[in-house]
Amino acid sequence: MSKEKEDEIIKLLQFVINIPQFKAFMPIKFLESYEQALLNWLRITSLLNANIIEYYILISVTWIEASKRTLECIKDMDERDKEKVIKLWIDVFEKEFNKLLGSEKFANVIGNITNAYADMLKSVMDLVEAHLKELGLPTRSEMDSVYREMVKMKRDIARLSEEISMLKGSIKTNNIVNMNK
Amino acid sequence: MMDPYLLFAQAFNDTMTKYTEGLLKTQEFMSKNKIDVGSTPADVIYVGRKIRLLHYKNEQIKHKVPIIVVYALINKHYILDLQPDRSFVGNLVRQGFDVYMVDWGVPEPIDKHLTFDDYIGRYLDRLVNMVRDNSSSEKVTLIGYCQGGTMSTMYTALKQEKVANLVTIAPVIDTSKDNSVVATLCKSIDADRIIDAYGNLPAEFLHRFYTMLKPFSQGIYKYVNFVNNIDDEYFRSNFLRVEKWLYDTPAIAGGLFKQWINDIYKRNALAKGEFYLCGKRIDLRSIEVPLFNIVASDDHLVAPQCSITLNQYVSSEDKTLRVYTCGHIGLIASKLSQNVILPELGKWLSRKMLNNNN
Repeated sequence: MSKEKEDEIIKLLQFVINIPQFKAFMPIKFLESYEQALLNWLRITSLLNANIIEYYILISVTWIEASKRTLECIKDMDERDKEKVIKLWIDVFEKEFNKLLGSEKFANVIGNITNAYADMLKSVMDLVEAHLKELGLPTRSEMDSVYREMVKMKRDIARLSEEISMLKGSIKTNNIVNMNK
Repeated sequence: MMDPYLLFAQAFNDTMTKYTEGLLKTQEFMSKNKIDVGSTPADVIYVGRKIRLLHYKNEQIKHKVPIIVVYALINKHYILDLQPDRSFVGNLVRQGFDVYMVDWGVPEPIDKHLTFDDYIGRYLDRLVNMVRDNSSSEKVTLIGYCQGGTMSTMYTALKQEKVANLVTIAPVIDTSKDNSVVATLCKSIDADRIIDAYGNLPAEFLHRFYTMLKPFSQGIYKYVNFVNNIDDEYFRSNFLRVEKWLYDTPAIAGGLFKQWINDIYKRNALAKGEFYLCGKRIDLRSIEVPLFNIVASDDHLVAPQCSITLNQYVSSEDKTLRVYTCGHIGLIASKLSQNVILPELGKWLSRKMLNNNN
């Protein structure tokens, strides 16, 4: 299915789902949020596909360019130079691909792909979160707030320990001064 | 004269056949044999939930000030002790130094909120105090490699009174001057979004990221080379040790990864003096301890200029910069590092320790 078609279907689905009369599971909050999460997942998957296609186009174009350069370099060589040819094609391809990897265009595509992967995972987690809430189990976001609290407490303990040892030190110094008096 | 298309096709086919063979053989060797790393004898003197502190055995300590080697949070610390004849820490031990090394361990989902405040302000500080107690020395020498160099620099700016000398090896400092592929990619990713989804930065994410760099010479040709030298036991065991290290990639704590990308790479906050650690601004100009900064001219992970600038930022009267013709790993695990870099570093450290009457 083309990207345009996918976008069209998603748009249509989003439109339909927001018409109150067509909301199939109106009274059940869980299913409503599940529907939203599923739609979101569909949107992200389509975005990810588009970026992956762009990634492979960049790779293919560079591959063709590197092949052309290799052929140019080996035109005067023959079968006896096979070991040289191996080292040469590796070298030419490495240079061409390093140019690609260091380019802003490639970095943007990688950035978009990692973002889309992250969003996809997040949308799956939203689905799981909806399930866990429905089952009355602790969710990821709830566990997350516990982790955050724990780190904060550990930092507080470390700070307090440092303050206590500093206080102990100054008490010791004061005692020595008083004894000398 | 042969048709160049045919010649290229044959060479390509030969390469890929050997590459596949090399990959399969590597997996076979790795699964059937125990790959020994970390050969220098050491005692584990601290074990936290994740972190360990190793103290290398040394009967002939000539210098009182202990050295703490701070490795990065990317891959594992044992690259600094990968094999006996190329061990970074082993060389320092042989030169008579009292050497400790930090193993940061593997963060778990529960650690996703840990930041540099925790790794430097809490953990590293705890280890520094422990080493000071253990060695009865007021101060320590910090040697930080790569991200560990950045962390050692931050720590020195924060707790200078505990640091006698700072040695940095390819530290990430001024990212505005880093035009490497790593920096370009780091500046283009959305760390908040990734961490929001994953919690910690997953190990496989990092592994794929690094294997993408040098895809042909490192990704393909090294396996061809492995097949070509498979009967050479020395070559084979060294190759397998490096492979083990490359695949031993722990996750990175989410909070710390966000700071690393957003503050260090995108905002260049450390060089600009806008980075905060434990509520305090990290001002590189406040560093006055002797500095020995080691940089590789062919570093493809941290651009040399990104590290070199550290010497311009610090206020230390005694600062040395050494640029060696090698790559990132070559600085710590090569013949050059054993025969040139470490002896030079050792001399510098001995002089400092002698001057400080230690």
